[in-house]
Amino acid sequence: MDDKLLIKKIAEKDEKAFQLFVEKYQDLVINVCNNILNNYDDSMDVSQEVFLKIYNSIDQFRGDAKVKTWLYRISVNNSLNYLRSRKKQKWFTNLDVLFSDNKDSIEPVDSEPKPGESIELEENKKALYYALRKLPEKQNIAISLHNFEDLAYNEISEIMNISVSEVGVLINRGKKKLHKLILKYYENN
Amino acid sequence: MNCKEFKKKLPLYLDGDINPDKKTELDTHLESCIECSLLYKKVSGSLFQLQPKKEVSEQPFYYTRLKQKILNQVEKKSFIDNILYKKSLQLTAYFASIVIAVFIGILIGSSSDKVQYSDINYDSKDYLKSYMEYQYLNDFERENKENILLTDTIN
Repeated sequence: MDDKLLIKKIAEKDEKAFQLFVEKYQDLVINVCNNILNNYDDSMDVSQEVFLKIYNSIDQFRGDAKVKTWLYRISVNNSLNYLRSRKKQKWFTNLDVLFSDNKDSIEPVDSEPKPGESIELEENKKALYYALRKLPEKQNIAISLHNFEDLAYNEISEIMNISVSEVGVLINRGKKKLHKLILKYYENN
Repeated sequence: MNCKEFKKKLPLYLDGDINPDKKTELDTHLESCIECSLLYKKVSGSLFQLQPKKEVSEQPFYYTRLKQKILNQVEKKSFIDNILYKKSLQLTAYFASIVIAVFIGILIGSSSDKVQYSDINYDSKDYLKSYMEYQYLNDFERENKENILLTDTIN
């Protein structure tokens, strides 16, 4: 079943069509979320929120963009919203720690080292994600989509709704900043 | 080249945005300095992770969990709708009871045998007489020259 027909049937609340749609695109959505969030559990939750949003507002899909582009856009936006809400939560948690008797800081746990992965590899990933999080949002997204999702500049420009040249600028500046941030991470640790 | 200068130039070295002479200097320093060589290895290792990856494996119960979330959402929506419906019913009942109470009050007021204010003729002697009899019952009434004159006129 092609995407247009699937979308039409999902708008009619056809469960079978929605299931087919989810099975077709779940890997894409989960991986995009995971590349931004770097956390398996969070990416599961956020990806499900993405599909929920699609189910509820499928009629808002105008059809002028490809389904994949639309999915990337929603996944990126939802992941960013999640990160922002986590930052606020962290701020309040830190306030809580400051004013409470319990001085142990409550840090949200990042992804656990996977079995078989060396400590060095884990450290490399940690440094990379530390640096990516420190980048301005747009640079982070542009680099993630280009490097993790292997998307071309024109595809990224459609997803982010910016010009192709702007994508190039974001990626170049982002990478330069990324090198400095990774270096800073290792110098401090 | 010392380590401090190497660390300062390393980002440019990684960007490939460095002139050939400087690059040679950095390469030479890398060969001779273990600490900087290790640092370079770590930074390169991190940058190497910036590549396409599909880390998340298949999720067999993914759709089942999603379907449950949709059902929960529908239940929550109808629960909220019920509450809103009850609230609006309550508001309607309160408003209706106020309107009814006001209406009853007006009915009671209009059905009494008292003289309507519009029927009173303020120029008649009977009015003036009863006004004079009850003037002291009026909280805001004051004895004044006009009232004395009025009393005199009637008597």
